[in-house]
Amino acid sequence: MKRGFRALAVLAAVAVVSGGPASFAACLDFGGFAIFQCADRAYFNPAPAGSGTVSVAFWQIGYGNGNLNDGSGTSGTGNGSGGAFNGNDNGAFPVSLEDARTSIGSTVPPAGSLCLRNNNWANTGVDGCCDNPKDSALTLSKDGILNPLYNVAYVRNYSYDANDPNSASTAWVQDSPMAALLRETTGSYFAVVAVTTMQRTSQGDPRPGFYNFKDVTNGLTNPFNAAAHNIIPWQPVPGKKGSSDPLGLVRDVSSPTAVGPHTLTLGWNDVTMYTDNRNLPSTNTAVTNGGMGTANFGGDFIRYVVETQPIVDANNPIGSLNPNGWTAQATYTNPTNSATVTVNPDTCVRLHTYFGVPPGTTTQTVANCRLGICGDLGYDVASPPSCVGGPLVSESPIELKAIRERAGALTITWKASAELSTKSYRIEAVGKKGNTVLGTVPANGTGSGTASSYKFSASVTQLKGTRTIMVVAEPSGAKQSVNIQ
Amino acid sequence: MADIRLRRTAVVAMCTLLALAAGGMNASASNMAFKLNKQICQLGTAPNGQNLVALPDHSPYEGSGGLNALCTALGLSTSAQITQWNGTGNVFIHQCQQAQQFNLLAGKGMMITEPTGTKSGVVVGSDIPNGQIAIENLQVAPNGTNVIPIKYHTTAVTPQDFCVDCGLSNTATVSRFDACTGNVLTHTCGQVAQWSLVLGEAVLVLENQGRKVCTPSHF
Repeated sequence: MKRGFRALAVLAAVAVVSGGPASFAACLDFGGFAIFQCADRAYFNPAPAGSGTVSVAFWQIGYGNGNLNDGSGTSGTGNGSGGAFNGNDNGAFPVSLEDARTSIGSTVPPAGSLCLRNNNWANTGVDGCCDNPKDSALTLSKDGILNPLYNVAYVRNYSYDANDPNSASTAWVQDSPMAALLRETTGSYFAVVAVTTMQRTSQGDPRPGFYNFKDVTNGLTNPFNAAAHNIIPWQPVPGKKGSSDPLGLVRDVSSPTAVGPHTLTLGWNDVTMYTDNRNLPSTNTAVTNGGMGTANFGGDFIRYVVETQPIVDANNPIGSLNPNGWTAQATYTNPTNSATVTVNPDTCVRLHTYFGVPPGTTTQTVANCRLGICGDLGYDVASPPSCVGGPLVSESPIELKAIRERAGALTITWKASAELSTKSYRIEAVGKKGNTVLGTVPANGTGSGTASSYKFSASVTQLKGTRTIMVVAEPSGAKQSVNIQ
Repeated sequence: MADIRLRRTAVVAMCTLLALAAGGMNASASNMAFKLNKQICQLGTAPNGQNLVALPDHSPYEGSGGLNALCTALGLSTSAQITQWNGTGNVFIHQCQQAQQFNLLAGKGMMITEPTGTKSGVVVGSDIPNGQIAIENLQVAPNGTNVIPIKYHTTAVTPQDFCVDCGLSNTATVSRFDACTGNVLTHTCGQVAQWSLVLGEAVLVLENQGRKVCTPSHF
């Protein structure tokens, strides 16, 4: 062991045995790994008008767990104290997201724009460390340097020159990109971005490395530098009705039968993932997607999940939903922005948009999580629910008339536009003390979907001063009322 | 930042008066004496308690017995450690009250770790006019691990000022460790500075585009 490493090891050992807050830990590497945005005059645009309070999270792609933030873990596997998968993410650290004008010292950014200011993976409260040791068989797998382009074992253990052609290696390229997600409390908008680790200037570049959101290439034009496109705009939550999506999630409902499943046509606006779109090849056998650049992950890190939940209370269908009662029906990725799903009657549907990569396992061991297959958890937005419930409009009686004849008897007529499930019609006299059933008429074309006409007569004695007649289709309950003429 | 400049100017002015008084008014204006209350935050899990400390160029902590004198001045326990990097591959560690095995490295900062609790004390010293510091080229650690003391009477307010002062490249980084909060603040030279240097602290400087030697600007 080299002397310097021995010294650092001693320091680390002292840190571990000290009486400090043991549950708070991050990268132990001296100096950590910084996260830049403000410092290079890049920022998030202001949240749209009507937005609520903004919150922010950051995580490493494949290693994020926004659901467990205890500030523990130093190894880079995503597993914290006790082995639990708490992720490599901001954890309990209060992320430094600041006013861009103040941070940059300029009024060029629009008022209300924000940027990541002083953040570092070494900071107290951060969960885990971004220095991933994916490959447990690799010498010096946790190397204290982000994606070096040389053979770390040769250089450190055998004093090879890092720039020597014989030292060239991408086997230590195993550190994931990182992402940041801004959300606001009305649930209408978000901003999301991901970047690869620092771009190295040479094979032997010895710098520990950092992440820099100025590297984004598909953002809006930076007013400080027209050649840079790293300003991150906010986006509407997919499936939420608004100015950019006036139709909302449910675009059409068609029903082969009214009591059977409904076919919903869904649509939404795709999310744009703002990234550096970088290809960073790796020869590490544990890197199964070919590299550690954002482009190596397919580029977008977005998936849309259609979720459903039965209506519990027909009088309050949305308010009675269980926040944890949603069931995934189908999953889509960009560029898909529409879907057709079949749901039971009286069902609510929503679109849940997830950021990051889907977990490849539910067994959150060190052996699994170090590969980056345990995350990303807790980085998502969801559209408001749209509920398809109650009787279909097509089942309602139409053209209802109630006409008093000369003898005082009442003639009631109506039509059905499309009889699918209706088996009969119940005719009621609406009174102040409740409704009185005047009679029942069987439907003519149940299940046919065809139109029918009906006529029903009631005597004077049945009416007892009633002024309103109601016809109810059974069993759906679709109804129509009319005043007696 | 203007406030920081004024405060620093006031400290320097006070130090100058002290120096002049101590020297029977014979000292030159640039040969200043310093006296600083210094807090050492308790060691936790890194970076909590990684106190990067700057001492004046001249101090009573040089030479044989100097490091233990520093331990005493800061009220450090026998578990506390003083670590110095020479930047060219060697790391030196002294545990308080041990027999001293190395002398304070001139022109280098230090890291002090104290596991038993937060401590404080007064450090004193004076500057060396036109004293130089060397920033070694970054290679395999600890080569190029530069813990650089910021001069007590520096004119630099931000890390970018220091970058310019020492002619650092735009790939060099300057990092400040807030040992009490456990936050690391990093600046890449050329960026818009997002934090300020703190009197009595050293910073970690990594420069991968060649060795740099400079005489930092001072009052």
